[in-house]
Amino acid sequence: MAQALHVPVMAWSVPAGFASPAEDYIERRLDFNDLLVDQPDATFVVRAKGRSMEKARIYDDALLVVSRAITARHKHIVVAVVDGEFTVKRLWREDGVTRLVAESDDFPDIEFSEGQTLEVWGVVKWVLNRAPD
Amino acid sequence: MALVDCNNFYVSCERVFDAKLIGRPVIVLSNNDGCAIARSAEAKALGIKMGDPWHQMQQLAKQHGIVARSSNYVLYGDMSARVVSILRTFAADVEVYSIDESFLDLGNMPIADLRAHGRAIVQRVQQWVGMPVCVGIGPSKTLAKLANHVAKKTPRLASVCDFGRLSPEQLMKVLDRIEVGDVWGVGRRLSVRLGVDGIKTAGDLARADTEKIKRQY
Repeated sequence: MAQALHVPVMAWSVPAGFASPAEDYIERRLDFNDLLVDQPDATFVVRAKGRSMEKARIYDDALLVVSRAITARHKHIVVAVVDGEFTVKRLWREDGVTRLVAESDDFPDIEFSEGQTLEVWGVVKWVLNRAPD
Repeated sequence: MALVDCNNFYVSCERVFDAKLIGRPVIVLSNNDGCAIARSAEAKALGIKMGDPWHQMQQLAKQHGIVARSSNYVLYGDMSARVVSILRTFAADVEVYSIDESFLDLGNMPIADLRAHGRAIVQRVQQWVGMPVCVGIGPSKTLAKLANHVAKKTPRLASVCDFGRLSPEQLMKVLDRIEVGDVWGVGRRLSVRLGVDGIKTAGDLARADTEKIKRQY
């Protein structure tokens, strides 16, 4: 399981044209831990597989920054455990009914009836989709 | 002083990332020898002992669906660091005793309810890391460790035992129910010698003359 990454990056946005005159005055590099991680002890990185969440812009092989420190709410995208397996879905809690909704027309939602337990493993905070090569 | 330790640490680490292992007999194997270096409660119940070689339990494994995992020290180290980091927010000072045990100095912290503090530790570590722990609280490290042992063995205590709540009489009653071999620092050979001299429980040890114990053992 990958840990949150520490990568120094230039702290200003680079227009696709010319260099910034501030180039010589770098004071602080952007730290992805500061940017992406609120609670390091409760944060894990998970790789998404498959296409069931494409409408939520989570594509195959995306890296998900997941926090176990947040209590999951209606409409949160979560990592859940269903029948012992991990899955990434949108949590739907309405009128006493709990569902895990797939964000794709090709994948079914998962419904939970009385007595069936849904275990939310963590809440997805950030989705990192790699730009196509 | 509190002693916080993780339940079945290596197995629990594996279970955080594979929920199918929960409730099943699981062992973690050493790298070269393929011997059991950790066992889940279900595996212990099947009689598997520390150091038992994996190739010798194939029959048992097939019969009971025992799952063996190769040790993953990178994972265990990371999970341990997370737990310790969380514990630091609950104590004035943390002494990391082993990969899965730490002493917390609750020092002069204004804690109204030590048991509630212990429960808060258990809940946060469970939620943030998925790791089940037990908390033992007492006026000394030895008593904190004994309290932790009681917390582990007594489900109705919900993983937290605070010896500070007990009167001296109540504490002695609890210590009388603990075997002297379970006391921190008393190994098998020492417990046999103590037993010969009539010291069979932690209570017996507590009542024994301190100077005499120091000299003889």
